[in-house]
Amino acid sequence: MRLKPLTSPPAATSKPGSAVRFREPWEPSVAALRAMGLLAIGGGGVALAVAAGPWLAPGRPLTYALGWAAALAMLVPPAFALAKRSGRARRPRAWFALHAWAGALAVPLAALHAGGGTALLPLALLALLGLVSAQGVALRLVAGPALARRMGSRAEAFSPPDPARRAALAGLAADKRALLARIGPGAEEAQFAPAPRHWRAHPVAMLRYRRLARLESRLLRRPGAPLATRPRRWHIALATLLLGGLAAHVVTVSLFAGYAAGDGPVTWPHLAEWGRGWTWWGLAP
Amino acid sequence: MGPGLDLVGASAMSARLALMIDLERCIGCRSCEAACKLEHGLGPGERRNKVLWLEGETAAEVGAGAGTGAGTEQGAPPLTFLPVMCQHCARPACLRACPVRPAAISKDSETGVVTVDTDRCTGCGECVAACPYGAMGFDPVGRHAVKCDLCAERRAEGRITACAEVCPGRAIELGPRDDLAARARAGGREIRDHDGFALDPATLYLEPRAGLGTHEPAVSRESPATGDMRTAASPYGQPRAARRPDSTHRGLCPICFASCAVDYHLKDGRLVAVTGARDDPLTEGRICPKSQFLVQMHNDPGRLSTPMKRIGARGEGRFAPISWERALDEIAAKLLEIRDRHGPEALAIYFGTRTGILTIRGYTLLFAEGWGTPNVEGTEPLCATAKTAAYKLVQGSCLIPNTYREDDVGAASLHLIIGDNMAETRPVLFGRLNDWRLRRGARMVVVDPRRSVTAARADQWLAIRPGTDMALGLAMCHEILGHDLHDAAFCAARIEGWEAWRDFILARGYDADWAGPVTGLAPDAIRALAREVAAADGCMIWSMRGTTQHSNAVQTNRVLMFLAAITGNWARPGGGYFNATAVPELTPRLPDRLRRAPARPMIAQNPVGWSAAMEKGTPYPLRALICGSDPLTMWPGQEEARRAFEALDLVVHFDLYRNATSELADYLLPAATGIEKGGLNRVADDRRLGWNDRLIDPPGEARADGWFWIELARRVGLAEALPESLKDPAAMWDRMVADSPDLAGLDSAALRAAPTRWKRFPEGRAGPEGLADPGGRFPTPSGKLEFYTEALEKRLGAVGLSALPEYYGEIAQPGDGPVLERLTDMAGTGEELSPFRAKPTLLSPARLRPDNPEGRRLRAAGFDTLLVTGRANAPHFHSWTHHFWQAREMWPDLYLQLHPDMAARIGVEDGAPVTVETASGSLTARAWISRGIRPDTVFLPIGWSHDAAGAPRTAGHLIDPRQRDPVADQANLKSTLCRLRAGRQGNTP
Repeated sequence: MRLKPLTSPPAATSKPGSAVRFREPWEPSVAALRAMGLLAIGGGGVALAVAAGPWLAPGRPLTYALGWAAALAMLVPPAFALAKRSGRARRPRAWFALHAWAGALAVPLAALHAGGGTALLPLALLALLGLVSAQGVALRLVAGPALARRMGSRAEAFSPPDPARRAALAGLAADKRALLARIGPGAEEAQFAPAPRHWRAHPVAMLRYRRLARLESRLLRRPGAPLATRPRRWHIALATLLLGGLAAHVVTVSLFAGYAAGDGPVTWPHLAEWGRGWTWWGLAP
Repeated sequence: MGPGLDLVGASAMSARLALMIDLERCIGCRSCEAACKLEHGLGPGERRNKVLWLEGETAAEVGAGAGTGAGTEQGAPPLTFLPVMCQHCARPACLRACPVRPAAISKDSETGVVTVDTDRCTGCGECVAACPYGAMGFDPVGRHAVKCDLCAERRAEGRITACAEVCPGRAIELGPRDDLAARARAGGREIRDHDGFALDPATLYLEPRAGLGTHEPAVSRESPATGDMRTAASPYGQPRAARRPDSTHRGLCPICFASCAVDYHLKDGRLVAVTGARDDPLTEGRICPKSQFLVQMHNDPGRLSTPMKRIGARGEGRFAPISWERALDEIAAKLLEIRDRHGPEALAIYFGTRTGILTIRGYTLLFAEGWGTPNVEGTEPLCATAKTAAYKLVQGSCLIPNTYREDDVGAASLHLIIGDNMAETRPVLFGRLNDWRLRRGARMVVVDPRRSVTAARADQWLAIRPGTDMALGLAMCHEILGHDLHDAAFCAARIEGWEAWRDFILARGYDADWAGPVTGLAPDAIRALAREVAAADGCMIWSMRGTTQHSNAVQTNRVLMFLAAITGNWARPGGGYFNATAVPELTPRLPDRLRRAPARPMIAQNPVGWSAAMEKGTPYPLRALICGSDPLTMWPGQEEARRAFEALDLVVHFDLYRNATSELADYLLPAATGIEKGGLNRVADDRRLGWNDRLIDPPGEARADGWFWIELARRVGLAEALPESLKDPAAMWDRMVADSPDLAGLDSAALRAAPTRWKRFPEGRAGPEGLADPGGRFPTPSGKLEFYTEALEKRLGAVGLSALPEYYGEIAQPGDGPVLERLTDMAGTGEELSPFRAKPTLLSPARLRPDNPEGRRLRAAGFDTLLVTGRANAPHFHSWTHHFWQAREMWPDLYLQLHPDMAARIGVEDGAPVTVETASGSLTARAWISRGIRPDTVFLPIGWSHDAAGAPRTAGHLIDPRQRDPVADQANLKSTLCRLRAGRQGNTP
């Protein structure tokens, strides 16, 4: 290696140490996460405003196509959830990035699809979509540092053990081992984590197993402490609700197009026009 | 590149692997954390391990009142350290919690090692939440789980974990779990049961004697303010392949005076790792976190890299880039103008030890001698000139006889440590010493106002009142001499004036009953300690800044030296007085024809004494300052210092980082350091010297100190005094050694040729007995250790003291004197010169007075608490480490350690802001409420500066710069009266 001579004034400036790269290039950076947030909330808002104009009325072909695009984007997250749990995701982190970007993109797409419509239930669905997207971005931004701070946060765990708790946990482990003999013969309780195939094959036993695992999880936590990943559970729950809402919306506009169109004509492809004139507790569609 | 691990064979691979952590040995230095991040390229917030500081909640009161102090053996609350990393459970809860299939976490069926596949981890955090030990890490930037895998890549190469390799305390071992457990039990050690969750963790923790604490101080946890993910310097976060070195070079860590032997690992001309040198006979590959932070420093984009010139008003902080040529030309022109107007003495030069011995004892001295100014000094008067002076008075030299060897200091049966927190200030050396001590079964007693980490590892802690170590020494000598427990043969043969000392001390009545109320220790404890020292077969008395940074420091150190000597513990294996560091005679001189003798003496040895000359021109004006380091963070008397700097015509600041001093500079110049410039950085604790080659380029246009001085010298007509050839550090060192009898034979070639790149001086004499000449004579006029001679009496009398040390305390002491009264303000004003300095230096006269009116006045004003300042925790060394992100991450906040009683009195909670105020100024810090400190005392670490760590004010704002030792001009940093209140304030004095 050749060093620059230090016997005369330097002619040119060399750069000091380079900045750091902590992640893979395709992974969402903090800036990308913020961009997602902007896309979901800001983009959604702009899209709503744009869609309120005369060029994007509900039911037109363009808004219909945007609806399908939004729906497809909204299906990526559940696909991610299934892929990573079923063992079909070769690159789970790439799937994660895809679900995040798709979730964020779905908001403006869905807002444009709304086309300035004022129907309460679809708007509620749109709001839920925005909430889930924003929640996901916020989780990623906030939860990371919070999870990092948990390292070394449980000094009391190294204190002399509580014999009752240890016995209870050992009992739970024994019960789980007994159940495992049926659920997955040969599986080792210490490393067993349920997969969809276990649920398909032994739904009842798996319910019991899950109950035991939850009891164990509760006993492993600091007494009285909430589950650290509760916000993530909420995110999943709201996303599941959103998925249900999406399914209901698709069914409604496909089969109950008459109800969805209200007093107007049905201008989008559909299967049936049932429900014209219906109201739900006095609410128009 | 690391110790071998016999685990690659088939039989060994079948063993369940584990770390075994000896909690009795762990000193909480967090070197294992640094090693882990360095090994695995982890960034801020990202951890595979973490060391918790744990204190006991309840225990006996310490110190005042009962006066017993409370050692660990007496039921004091424990201060212990708990390294937390993955426990590699047989039933890993993390693994079961992972929702990814196949799971991103797996467990090796043979070794039991649990690993996470970060390529599969989606960052959901379920595993982190599931681990009941809080032992899973998380990368907050890359957003995935991280965890200890017992350094899988290193094990594949047959090496042990990075944490085990560096651990200064020798507390961590890796091996087959059953083997480790069997060995621990065979050694009579108890393995802690921490399997409270039926998970069967693999990690073995060996119980500490005092039990494990339960309460983690808020200040030892991460602060929300730290961990800016974007400021970490490479090679952190880079793939392992990008960090694999292409060359390795032996050298020494330049940060502190422990000078640990290290290997510098380079890739493509950049530093990618620093590891301990395993074949070094002393350190054996152990290093503290600071050495590892060198990687951050040498790659830090925040380093100064371009010369800058002030463009706004001084203090406004506005600078513009300037070329080196132009900056040097302008500085030279200004200097010549100042010399013409005010004389050459108007230039002051101050460079800290960070800049290296070639600078502070070489380039600056030669420049000053050629220029004609006596006002050149380093940090020594702030650090330890008192001990240097004391050594010279007693044994004629500051070459500490003892060295760190098992057959030397390691052979002691008793270690008495007074005012030396060695475990944090020199963790590697303490770990080495503690290992010898534990294996030998030697006792360790620590005398310190607070339960330092060193005290936490000792057999006994005596919580002495700050500034009263002299009283303790006097009383111990009284007990020994009064009962004929001294080593009569040694006294007769090797000590001059010991009888006079004995008669004096007995006549004065400096016994344990007298010392008890002064020191706050129980008289019986003092007597017992004295007898233990007298009876020990080899007692090492260790001391450091705790006794040295006082206005009574020279006499205190002399008394403690007397204590060692009368018990025969001087220059013998396992016996001696060790107050680091050894200081060789090293004053290179110019030929007479190149030397310009100053017409006026040095204003004060301590640079804080220059303030009046800068601001008011008394006793004569100082108009220009060239400085390195950060005096406007570190000097006591910050208000005076800032006013003084603002009044100067020229301030040149030459440093690594822009800091508080930079803000008042006219020129801000980027400095190279360590392996960017090469050379000899430090004189180590025990007469070791070592050499660093220049290995890497400095950032940008940063230049070596030597280059700067020689370029400047050329422009002011001193080219012959500082020729171009001396830009080569080897040439400079050889030039310096040629003038030093202590360093004969230790030129650069000799240092480079040494296997581990260090040698001891005097060359060829390593053992303690080797320092005396063949006739056993010490280099004093009498050839003996000198307690009392007429010449000594005359010299010490010139500053109001006597050869037979008479007790006096600090102004901060309770009660009414005696104290030292300075007869001048910041520096000498008359014609009288110090009898203790070879260089003409104004004497700052003083006298002892029996009462303490200043102390009374301050106490009446509510300043009723004793403030001790000192080095921060092991990851920090003064101000510059605060620029390293991981050091900030480990200890982010300026804190004030205070006793629960004091906290209750002022109503402050642990971790909450508390304001400390002295007659000099005030600041706000975070409260660390701890039983490990006297109830009447608080501790504030030094080094936090406003620019590096967000502390608007530093410890220097609180300290009176006038309280200095009359012999050595040593500043009192350890005993200041203060008052406290909960909450923040405006930080105005």
